[in-house]
Amino acid sequence: MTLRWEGEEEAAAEACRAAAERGELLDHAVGEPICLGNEFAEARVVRVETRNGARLLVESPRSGRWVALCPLELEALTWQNTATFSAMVGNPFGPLVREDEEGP
Amino acid sequence: MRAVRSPLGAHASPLLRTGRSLPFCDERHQRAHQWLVDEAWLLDAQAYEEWLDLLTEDIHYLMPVRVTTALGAGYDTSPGMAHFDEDKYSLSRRVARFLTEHAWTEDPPSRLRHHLGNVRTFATEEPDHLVVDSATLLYRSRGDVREASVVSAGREDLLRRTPHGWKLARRTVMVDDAVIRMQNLAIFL
Amino acid sequence: MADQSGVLADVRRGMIPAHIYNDRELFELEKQRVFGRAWVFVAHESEIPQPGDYVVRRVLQDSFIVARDEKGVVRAHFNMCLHRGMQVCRAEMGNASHFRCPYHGWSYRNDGRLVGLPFHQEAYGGEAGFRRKGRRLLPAPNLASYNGLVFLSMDPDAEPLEEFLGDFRFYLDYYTRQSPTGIELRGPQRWRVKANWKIGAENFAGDMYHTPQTHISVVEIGLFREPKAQKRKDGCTYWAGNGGGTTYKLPPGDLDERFRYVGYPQQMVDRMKQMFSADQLRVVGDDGFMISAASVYPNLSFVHNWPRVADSDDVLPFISLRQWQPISEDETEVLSWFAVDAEAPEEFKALSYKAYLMCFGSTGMFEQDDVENWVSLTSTAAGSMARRLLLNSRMGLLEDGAEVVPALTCDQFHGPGVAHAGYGEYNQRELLNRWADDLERPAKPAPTLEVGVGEQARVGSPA
Repeated sequence: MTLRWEGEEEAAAEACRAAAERGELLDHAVGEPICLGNEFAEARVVRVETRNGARLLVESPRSGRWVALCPLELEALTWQNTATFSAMVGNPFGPLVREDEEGP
Repeated sequence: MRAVRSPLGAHASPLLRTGRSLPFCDERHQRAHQWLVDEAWLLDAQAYEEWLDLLTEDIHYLMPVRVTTALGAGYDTSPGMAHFDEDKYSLSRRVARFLTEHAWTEDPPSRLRHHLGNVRTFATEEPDHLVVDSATLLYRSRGDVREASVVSAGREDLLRRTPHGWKLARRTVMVDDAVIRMQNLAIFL
Repeated sequence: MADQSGVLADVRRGMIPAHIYNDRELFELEKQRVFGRAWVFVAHESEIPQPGDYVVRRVLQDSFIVARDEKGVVRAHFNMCLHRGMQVCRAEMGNASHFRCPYHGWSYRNDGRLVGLPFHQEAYGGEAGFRRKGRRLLPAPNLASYNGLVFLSMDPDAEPLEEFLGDFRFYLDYYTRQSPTGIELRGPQRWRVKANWKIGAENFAGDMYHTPQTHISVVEIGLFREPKAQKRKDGCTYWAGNGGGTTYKLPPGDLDERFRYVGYPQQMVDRMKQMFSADQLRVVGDDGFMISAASVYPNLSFVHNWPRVADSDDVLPFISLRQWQPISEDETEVLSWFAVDAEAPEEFKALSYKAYLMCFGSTGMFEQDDVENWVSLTSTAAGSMARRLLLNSRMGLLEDGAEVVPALTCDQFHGPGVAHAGYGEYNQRELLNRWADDLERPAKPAPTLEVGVGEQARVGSPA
């Protein structure tokens, strides 16, 4: 009998789905990716085109996590102050606001 | 703007314009302008066999479908779709159909007027090729019940000098409507 | 409003009052009673393949944002900001995780949820003044899909889509399920014709009789070998569920040969053999019929034909979906898409697209002559003489109602529904009978929603 932790299969399925989705986005990457790094983190961004528009794929090569942001989400970043990002950094590897919450 | 790509246009010449538009007194511009005026009269008269002779064997005749997209979207044509995406064979079939006695849509024929304007000509890297921009407004009147219909478009043409005179080697028609206000495109622009 | 029961009774006996193709009062009734309840096609899932992709589509005057949300769920939101009623999306397609109204900046997630009103606290007093939580762009009253075809209904109590389509799904699969991935859609080309919307729907549903006459020119130029009168007559029409269509009779051969005869490469044939049911394969392989045009009530049509695309004897099939979007009693916006199996080889896709452009759509050589007829019919139907004329739509029936030829037996035709070989107007009558049924039944009052003041939706009276 194989031991599994609770939710393992769901997590694995979710990871597969995310990997497939990332692959599909990268199939339509445009231009060269931009890489930035310092002693704490590394990030890679590239423009990806969907059928009807474009997003910015932001990836962490170390953790394998990624997010594809639309222009309005990117603009929303410009409205933030350091405190917003401090809160995000202070809550590592998870979202600041849960999906079922409605936000501030 | 994202270049309009077509899977059916791979055979066509990829030549691009170079530099600024030629002066109106330049003989190359005058030749190109006259070519377009002569062509407009042929199209008005539906003299399609003669028109077909003005097209090179490797012609690509493209009229993309325009879509309304955001200013920053980077495209304003429908991905992978066009109204016309033609080679010599498909154009020749269209012309052949008009010459049958059973192309009802143009029998009785429309009264057509291709208004031509804003012509400017560019040199290319090859002396035997010119790129010509123009605006066209087609007025099409049918019967005596319905109002006439109008279609407005910008065009980019590639003209090629051949032993049999200048011929059209490539045309991209950028129609100005997302929804065409004409019952069909049984016409050429 | 005038009593239409006489008109509907005439329609039911296959005698069509000519003015139904250009009648303002009937059009007002159609808006409420046909398009207020039927399942209406709006998009295919392949038009919005990735999260955030959206297209804007109309049902009559109502604009809907058909979007794939960040979780991959396909949704249809009424394209009207909850605040002042501005259109949220003014582009007809794009990609966005959030929509932001250009008027006052209200923003919505692409799943429809209202996420922000500027100065919610200062201007409205926060949740006490305007309940933001739980607010969303008005969803389409009903939304469902079949083989990736997304339909919406304005009736929240509409029967399930699968029941609405019924046995027509058997035929829909030929167009839309040739591989596990299904079709991808390109377009639509859009143009307006001065014709009543019903004419196109009827024509595609079953009018094999017009093909040899209207479309003779495409045979003469060698584009298409099939529509000759004798060949067309050998085909059959079928009606099943809420749709029906036409077929061509194929020359003798086995299943593979018959699919190849219309131009499918063997690898596509092999996939279809995996996808289609035994009966779906029998219709082609044993009965020898290949689907061609079809319509689903009220205004979605299909076409599948196989012209020559180059100067050779080879033919190649294409598929088109088209919608007859009513603008008024005498004007229709045609939306015409090219569809192709997503798993088809790239070369096949390119040539099939070429075949489509040559035959159908805004420039198609078949379509050009169709529209000429429909425009002419519509303008003639406007006057008072048209009110004195009942058009005979009884082809296939004798005066006593007996059929000119018996329906095909289940050994002759393995598809569901009723099929007849040869010319007839069975399907046009089926379509208009549904139209008459809908026109007879008053629409229910729709609930109205009060924005921002609590949960209750109340039932109001329709305008």
